Amino acid sequence: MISSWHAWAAVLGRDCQLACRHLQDSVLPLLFFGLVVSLFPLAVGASPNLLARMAPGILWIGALLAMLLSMEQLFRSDFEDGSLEQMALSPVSLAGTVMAKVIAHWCLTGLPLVLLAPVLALALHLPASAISVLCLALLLGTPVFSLMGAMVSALTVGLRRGGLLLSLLLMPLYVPVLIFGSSAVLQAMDGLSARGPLLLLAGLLVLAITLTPWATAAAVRIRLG
Amino acid sequence: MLEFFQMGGYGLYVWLSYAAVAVVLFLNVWVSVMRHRRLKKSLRVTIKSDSTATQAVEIRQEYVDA
Amino acid sequence: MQRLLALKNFYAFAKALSPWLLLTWVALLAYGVIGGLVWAPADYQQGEAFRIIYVHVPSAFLSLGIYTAMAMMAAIHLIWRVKLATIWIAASVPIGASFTFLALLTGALWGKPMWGTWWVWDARLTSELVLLFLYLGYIALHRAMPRPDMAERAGSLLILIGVVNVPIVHFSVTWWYTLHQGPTLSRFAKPAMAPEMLMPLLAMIAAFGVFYVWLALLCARNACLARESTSTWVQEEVINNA
Repeated sequence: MISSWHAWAAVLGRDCQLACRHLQDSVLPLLFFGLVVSLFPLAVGASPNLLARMAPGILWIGALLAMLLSMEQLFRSDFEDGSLEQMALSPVSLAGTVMAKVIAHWCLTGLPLVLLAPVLALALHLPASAISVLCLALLLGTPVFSLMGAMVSALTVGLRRGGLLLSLLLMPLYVPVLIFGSSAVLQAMDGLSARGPLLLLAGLLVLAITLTPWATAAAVRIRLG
Repeated sequence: MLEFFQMGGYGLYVWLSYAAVAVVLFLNVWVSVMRHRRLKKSLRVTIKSDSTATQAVEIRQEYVDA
Repeated sequence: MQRLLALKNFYAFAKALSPWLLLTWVALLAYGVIGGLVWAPADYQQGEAFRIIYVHVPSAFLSLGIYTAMAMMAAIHLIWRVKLATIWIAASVPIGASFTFLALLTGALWGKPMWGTWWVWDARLTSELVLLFLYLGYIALHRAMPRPDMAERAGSLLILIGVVNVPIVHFSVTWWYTLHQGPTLSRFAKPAMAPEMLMPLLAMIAAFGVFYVWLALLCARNACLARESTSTWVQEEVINNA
């Protein structure tokens, strides 16, 4: 009998390997992020002052939408080929397995978004002083997107128009992260300390890590019937 | 009396609010009462026409679909 | 308690309770509406427009109250698998969504004459909007599920997820609102309302609450009839009460 730690590592490794083979799954959200952000100057005008003021909001909404887009993939192939059922039946805790999948997903979609964000921030004339706060805020916020996304993604996996439903259900839940995330960057731009919102974001992350794996496991069980 | 309906110049807003509440609550009640009547009627028809279990199941299915 | 959980007994109980609830509702509503529109004096700051409070606050109160009641039922459903809990949730959702919509609509109708605009990104308004999305999300998820039992369980889980999130969303929106220092908008100019203004408001809140219970019981009775359409008690009920 293998230990749960080994099973956990195996799921993590397998998901990372799968994602590396289907590289477009990680590249597409990045491309989407870049495109959404570059549409904004075309729509609101290229005035550097205006763009800099809007940059935190644009970048956060862009990252949110890109994460949303990738969430649908999280459980889909495992649901279709029956691996998800095997994971639910195995003696290893389903919450742990799900957590491994979320970590793999975040490393291959969330982390690249965080790395791309400073480049896009420069294009939007965000002051250099705020860029480090932006990265830190995204580093704390995007895992929350992944964790909460996994919960709802498990509920809607395999449904007709599941992607649309997923966005509808998730966006209201993403409101607090969006508020604290963009506020942190705005405060840094204004020369204020961004400590408060960053700590609140960290709090949300801790809360999400504690609660969402159980909810996600319950959602998987419900969908498997 | 006219003064009462004018509500100090805010009549439009006040009466629109009350009307909106009345309409929405009435619609809620109406839908449920109608469903109750329809349900009872269709159940009665099923029972009278020598009720078979399958017909009752059909009614249930219709309700679930609705 | 055990006996009440059987749909047959619940149906009889709900049916017996219904006329009394209706009576209470009419009495409370009559007092609330007349007291609010006629007897209460005009507000010294807002004039007659403050009378919208008598439909706005009860709607907002019920929109949150119904969601909380649904969350309790969802927990009961997921833990003890009580069938009646899902019936109550299904009956509550449209009513809760209606009240949320009404709270937003009457809020806009109140905001226009008082603040000069239909919509303000005020903390309470924004939270209410998020609550409406949660209600609509439940309906969308419930409809998308392939099997009724799966829809009920998924819906209950979604409600529990929502109820954990509502306070967080409200906190974050309040925090965001104070940060951005909008114009100070306080609907209650005075810290304490005069009793002749307050009593009709309390009566209206109670009236809306009684209305919710009455209507939810009716919807629940419909669900009982449909679910147990093959059982003898339903057939007796239908024949005897034409």
